[in-house]
Amino acid sequence: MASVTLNNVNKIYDSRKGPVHAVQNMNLEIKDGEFVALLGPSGCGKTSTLRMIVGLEEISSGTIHFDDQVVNDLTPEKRNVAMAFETYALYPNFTIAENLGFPLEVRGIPESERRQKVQEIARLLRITDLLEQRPGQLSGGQQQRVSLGRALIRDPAVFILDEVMSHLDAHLKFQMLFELKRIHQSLGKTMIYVTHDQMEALALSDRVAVMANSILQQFGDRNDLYHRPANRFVADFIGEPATNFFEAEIREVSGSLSLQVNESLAFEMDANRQQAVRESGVQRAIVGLRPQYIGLEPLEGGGSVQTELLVNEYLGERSILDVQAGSALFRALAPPETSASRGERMTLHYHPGNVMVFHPESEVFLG
Amino acid sequence: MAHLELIEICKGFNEPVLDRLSFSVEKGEFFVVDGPSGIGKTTLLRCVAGLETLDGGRIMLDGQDVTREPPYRRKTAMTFESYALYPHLTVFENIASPLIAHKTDPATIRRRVQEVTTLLRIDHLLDRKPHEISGGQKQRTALGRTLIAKPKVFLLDEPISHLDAKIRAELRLQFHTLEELREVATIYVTHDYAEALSLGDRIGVMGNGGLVQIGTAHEVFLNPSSLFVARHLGQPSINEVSAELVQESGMLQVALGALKFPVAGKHAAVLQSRNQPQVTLGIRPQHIRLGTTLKSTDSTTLSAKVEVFEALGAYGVMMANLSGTSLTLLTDSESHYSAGEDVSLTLDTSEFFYFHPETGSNLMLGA
Repeated sequence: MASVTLNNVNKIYDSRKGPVHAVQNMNLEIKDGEFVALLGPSGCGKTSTLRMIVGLEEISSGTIHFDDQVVNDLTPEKRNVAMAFETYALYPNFTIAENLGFPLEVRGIPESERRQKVQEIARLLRITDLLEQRPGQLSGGQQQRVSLGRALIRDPAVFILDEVMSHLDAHLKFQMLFELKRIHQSLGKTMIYVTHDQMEALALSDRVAVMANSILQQFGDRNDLYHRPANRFVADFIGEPATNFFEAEIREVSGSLSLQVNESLAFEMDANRQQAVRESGVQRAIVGLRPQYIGLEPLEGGGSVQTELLVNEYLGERSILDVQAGSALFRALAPPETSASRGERMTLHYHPGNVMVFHPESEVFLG
Repeated sequence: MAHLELIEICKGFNEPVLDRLSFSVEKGEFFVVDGPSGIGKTTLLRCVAGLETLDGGRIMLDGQDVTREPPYRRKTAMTFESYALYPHLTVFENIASPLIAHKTDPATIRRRVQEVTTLLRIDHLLDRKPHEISGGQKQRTALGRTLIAKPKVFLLDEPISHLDAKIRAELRLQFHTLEELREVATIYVTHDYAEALSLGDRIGVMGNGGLVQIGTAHEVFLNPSSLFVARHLGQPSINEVSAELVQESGMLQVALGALKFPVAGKHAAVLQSRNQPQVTLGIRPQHIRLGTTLKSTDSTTLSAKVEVFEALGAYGVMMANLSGTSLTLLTDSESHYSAGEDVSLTLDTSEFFYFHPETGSNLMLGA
């Protein structure tokens, strides 16, 4: 086991069009035994970061420590990192037991010890009854577990999972989430999970590092990301359905500030946010409000907005309402029984404590 | 007369992928085929398009038997999950390709491309090549190429499953409002039940060999014909609980281990007449509430022990043990629960499903 620390890590690739700065001044401190997700859209630099941690990619500048040891010049083998990939990469002609035991065989571990380790890992992953089968006979979820098992069996100091669930369909994914969480809890290993799926990242990890445009945007737990996103990007990337954003002018009426989006849409702010807006001195702001926090039920101390319904999208457990207020279009969540239809007038309610305010130019979170 | 009619179509002999599958789609109807991956949805579309030869059955389009017609004479247009754009052609040329192939005059081509791309909001990308646009834009280009052909049948194969959540939501909204779709019959294939519920005028849930239920979103979600359908629709999956129905103190009761509670009034008479004491209960996670707040009169409060709890951002997922049965339920994301903690669960019995323990059929439906 090990802690992983990145100090001012940069990755610069040479390309025909000139140097590409894929990772910029990345600082990250992953504690020993922590489960951290590296989250971001494709091309954000998360895979480059990961490959530098593993040792598959040279570090252009900066240092990476495992515990107190600088690992910049160590081969992947010496770093004792194990990695499980999106594709299962199992040997089709080997049984599951042979697939699992293979990394140990290569290292010349005697057979009796190998067999014992395979049993242990199989129990952990709950695949004991599959050991004599071949990969072709297994479902996608089972193959995924075997591939995890093969990475885990080497007893690595740091365990890295690269988009391991993007192949699985939704139901399997859900089961695997719980499974991985359980595996982490029983092993207590440092795990780094790379994904572009925010739900997976939030569900699994103790903390999430959100990357965009080669830069670490925020490193925090799910509460931080959800309620105190560092900037508009994070607020937009985290949460489903996506956050509603509005451009608004700051209005002051008898000492109280509000956010005027258009002639028919305005949001109130609580005292803390008003204070934050005052201190920043902005005249305009970007408003973010999650669809979860605007709905049909009146709230105590809440504000309300008048809207017209465009689409009532029934999704089984819930409905998403696409509504319009003046020229602004946005979405709200409603119970599935909601029977409203296109063109209907609807009063929607929100709590000022859930209104997020961002700087109009820098898009940094103000409050 | 139905616009498109599939009559007992068969594909594959030894292990039939499609086994006497029948359904029809009206003009202007958006029909969604929803099922787990690998079940044969793409094969079904390819049969309609004429890319696969049927091993049995007939396909009627506008009253004409097209079973033996080659693909180009069927007036069907298909988008593929992999987009299949021409890499060396621009967005304009890709979209125009079906018209160019039909030797349409250049002025009409320009007008039609303009119309379609404005609709799909990609009219600013006409000069770009596929590698210069994002996944979502590629998807819309592929869609544009399908729309421009003015076919009688649209076949859409998981057209938005590769896209990130935000673009998916946007495209979903576009499907709801595309006027072009009102003139044709559309078959849309997906493994995502939320997409199916959201988009389908009707939904066919696909099981082994055929459609196991056809109905509107409300019908398939609220009255699933079988456990298979109920299991496929919903996330997290429906809880499946083996239980016994017993007559006690003049009431039909559910016996769950040592626990007993009354069957909801609206279910009692039908279940009584079924004379099926062993059942599989289907309980959706959202119909189990924490605490004792009663939403309807048909509910029962029981005590349980927390097994696992995960906060997932917008909500939390808990597994709780109720007298030896593990139940999944949803909670808010603000509270925290630890394993072993005692909680009370309120079950909304009026929302329960009762399935036959062997056949899985819904006991409340049918004669």
